[in-house]
Amino acid sequence: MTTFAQLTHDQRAHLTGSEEAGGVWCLTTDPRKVRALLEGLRPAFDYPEDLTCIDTGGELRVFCRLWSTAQRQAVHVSLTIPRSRGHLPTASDLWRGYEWQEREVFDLFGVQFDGHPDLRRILTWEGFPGHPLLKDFVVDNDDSSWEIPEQTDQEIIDLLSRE
Amino acid sequence: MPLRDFRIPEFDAPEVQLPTGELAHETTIVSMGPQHPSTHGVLRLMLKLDGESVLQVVPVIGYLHRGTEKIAEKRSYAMIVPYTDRLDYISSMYMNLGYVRAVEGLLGIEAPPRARVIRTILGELQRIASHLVWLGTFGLDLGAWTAFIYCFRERELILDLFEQICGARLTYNAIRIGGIVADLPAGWEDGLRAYLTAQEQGLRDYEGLLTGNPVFRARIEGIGVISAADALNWGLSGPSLRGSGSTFDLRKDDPYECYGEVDFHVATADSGDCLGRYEVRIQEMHESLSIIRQLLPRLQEPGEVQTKVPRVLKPPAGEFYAHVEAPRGIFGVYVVSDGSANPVRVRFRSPSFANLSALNTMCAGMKLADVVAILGSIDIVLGEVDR
Amino acid sequence: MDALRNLAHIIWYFIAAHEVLRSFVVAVCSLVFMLVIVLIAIWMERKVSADIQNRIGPIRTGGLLGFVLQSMADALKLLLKEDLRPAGADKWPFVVAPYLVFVPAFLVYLILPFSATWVPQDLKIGILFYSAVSAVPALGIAMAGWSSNNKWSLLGGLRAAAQLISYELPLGLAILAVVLLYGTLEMKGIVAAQWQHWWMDLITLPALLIFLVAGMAEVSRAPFDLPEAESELVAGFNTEYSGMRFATFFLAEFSASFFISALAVTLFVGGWSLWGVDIWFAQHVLHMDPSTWNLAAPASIPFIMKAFWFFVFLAKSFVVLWILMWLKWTMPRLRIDQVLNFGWKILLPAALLNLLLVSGIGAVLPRLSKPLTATQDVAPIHIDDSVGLAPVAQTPPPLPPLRDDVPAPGTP
Repeated sequence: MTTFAQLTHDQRAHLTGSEEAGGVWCLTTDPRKVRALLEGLRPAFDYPEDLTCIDTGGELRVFCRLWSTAQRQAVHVSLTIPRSRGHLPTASDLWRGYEWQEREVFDLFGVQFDGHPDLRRILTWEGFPGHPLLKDFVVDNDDSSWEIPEQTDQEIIDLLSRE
Repeated sequence: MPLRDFRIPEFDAPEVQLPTGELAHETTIVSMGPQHPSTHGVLRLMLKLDGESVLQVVPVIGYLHRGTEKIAEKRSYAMIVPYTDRLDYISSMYMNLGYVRAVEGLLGIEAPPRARVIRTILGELQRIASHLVWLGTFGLDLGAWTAFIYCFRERELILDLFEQICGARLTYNAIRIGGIVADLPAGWEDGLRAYLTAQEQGLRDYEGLLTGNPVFRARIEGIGVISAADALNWGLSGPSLRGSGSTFDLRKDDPYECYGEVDFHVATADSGDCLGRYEVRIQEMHESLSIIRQLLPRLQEPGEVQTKVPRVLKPPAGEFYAHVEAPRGIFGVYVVSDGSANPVRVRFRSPSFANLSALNTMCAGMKLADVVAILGSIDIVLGEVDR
Repeated sequence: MDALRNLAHIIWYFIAAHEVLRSFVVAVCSLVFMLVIVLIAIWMERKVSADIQNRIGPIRTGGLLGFVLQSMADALKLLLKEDLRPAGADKWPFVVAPYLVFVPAFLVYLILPFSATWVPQDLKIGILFYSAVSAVPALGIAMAGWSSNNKWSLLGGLRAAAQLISYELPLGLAILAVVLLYGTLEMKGIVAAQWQHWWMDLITLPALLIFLVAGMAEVSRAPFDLPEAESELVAGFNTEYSGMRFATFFLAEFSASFFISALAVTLFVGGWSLWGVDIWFAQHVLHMDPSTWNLAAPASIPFIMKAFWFFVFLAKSFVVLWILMWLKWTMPRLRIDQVLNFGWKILLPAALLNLLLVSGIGAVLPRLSKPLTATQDVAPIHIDDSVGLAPVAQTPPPLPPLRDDVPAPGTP
């Protein structure tokens, strides 16, 4: 049974900060160490509950929440990346459930996940201008340039044509 | 025997590619949806078919994306509650609950005991109502038309009960930050009791129509199998996960409201197929009825249903993650505050989104008709998939 | 009035004398009959489904006459709708397909023995005619699916082709059992044999079950409605059809459903006969003398009995149709591989086994099957004293002619 103290001790090389708040273990790390940290967490935390991103204005904070069904314990992992052209290693090979969550973060925030098997837009369409959940994305209802380009489905057809 | 052995030596046609292997295959790519009778809304599935066999499924979502999370950044905390109704519109009550619990966590307040009891009862009623819609539409997906009407017969009674509380039948906006919208109207409990009796008969009716039906069982037994480990790995939750044998249920594992105080059993099935998911939901309805019965006496205790909450909410800077076991699985709400009246970020972790992502895994090697059955068995609502 | 009646007689004789004209009149009458039946069947489907589903069903149109007006309104709506043909559709197959489905569905009505002597077209090979004609709709459906230029339609068409061909065999074998037992292909003869030996229906009971299951698959009724499986294939082969062309498919489907019920009644449930009760009724209540009736001489049977039998036949057919509807509204749809497996691995062996059984019984009971192929040597109406009925026929009524070389009295 992992405890918070043991976890932070084992993973201290990959952490930049840790605290226990309201029964949840909150870990902070940075883009270079995150992959190793998640690999260390994988055996104990078997459920990929959430993965998202917060635009704090200055930079992007990527946040993921894992749950251990055996211990009934949640852990938050967060890290900050620059607002534009942020790159992160993917976690979708560790937890398949993050495959779509990463696509969503890519779609809405423009964060690139290196090594993701199928990093396409998911909620918006092919050719959508910008990333809507960034704070500087302007929502203008009267903007007449909002035309959805003709959808060719080429990305999907290519995907399906792959063996 | 390979077909190329039959080539006539004199006739040479190099441009003709003769098929190799036992039988020649030509695959078709079919777009199922976004307007299709059984995609439960505006889901689009790109199917790669070999005859009737499904080789690959690529779900295309986003047709109902309304940018709820973006809208939420421009609204005050209390104003967001009605938006959550529109996420999973089949179980709006639970969407309210999830969001409200996150804001309450951020504020550090808690609803009064009576409100907690009522919330739990409403939540379980909502779970049954949601499962009834699922049961009816699952039957429709399989071509069994009749169960649908029977399910809606009892769902109507639940909606009547909800209507008495908040005046709405689909998007309730009933659970508010710090409590619920109003105390129960007079006579509501009698209606609830009458409903509980009707529902028990109703459950017998549905089971009589479906559970033992050999055609129904033949259609869902062994279809869309996913193991418990795979299901967890894919982030499945709710009945879709418990149908594979996992007992992961937040009502037990991370109790909220009154779930810690009632005695219930987490319904599971070991088969991991559509039948397992079906059985779990049927059992869950029985469990929900039992939970409501246990909480009925506590409705007699008078008390406040709303704590004092300031008119303009300005939670302290910080963040809070609340998750509840919605009818479809784990509904997580992540609220980040900077101390102002509007949240910096509201994130809705929707169960259907995660459940849908495993569709391709479940559909491998199945027939076209099974895709419809599997999609029905994971019970998605596009409102929360697309948000 | 006399003049009018004479005129009618003259017209009738004129028509009767001209085979072509007579055929034309018979065809039109069958068509009208079929349309009326379909109107009733559609209304019945709506009411039966409503009853099963705890609903009321259509009540706004027509009141008690709802069965006519509601279906008429439905038909009118379809008539007035725009008739769309997809730009990519293959024109001629697309246009012709509905009629390839519709024409056989109405053509088979010609051979139905509606009453003792009321057969629109009394073919000597009646049941064979049905087997031949009923294979055509599969072609029409496959054509519709192929020509629509829609992948769902294509899948529906292919499903229909696979399913209809698979179930043709058990259907044919179930019919063959009856033919073997009664020794005739003529519909009239098959019913007459059952009229005379009502208990023969018990021997063909397994064949009836096989026939009904295969028949449901043949007319694509749930749980075998895979060709148009709404929740999977949108609407299957008729996805791209609208307006009158769709109505044609719809009409054909209901017509075929009724026909399968009527055929099941004709072959297995005694057709227009009422298992001896009709004879008893005629003798004791209406004080008639059934011994003078001769199936080969239509004039020898009172009109009232023919009309009575006609209604018995319709009532039986609608009861069977109701059972089909009941099944439809309580059963989910099967999957294509399950349908084909069931057809080939269960129903076909069962049909073969049944055929073996029936031929065995036919061999054991030669006395019973023989008289049916002979003409006039055995008392056909057998009413036992032990059940309290007086012996009816001292001199038995002659049997219908079942051999070509024996001309029936009274035929032109």
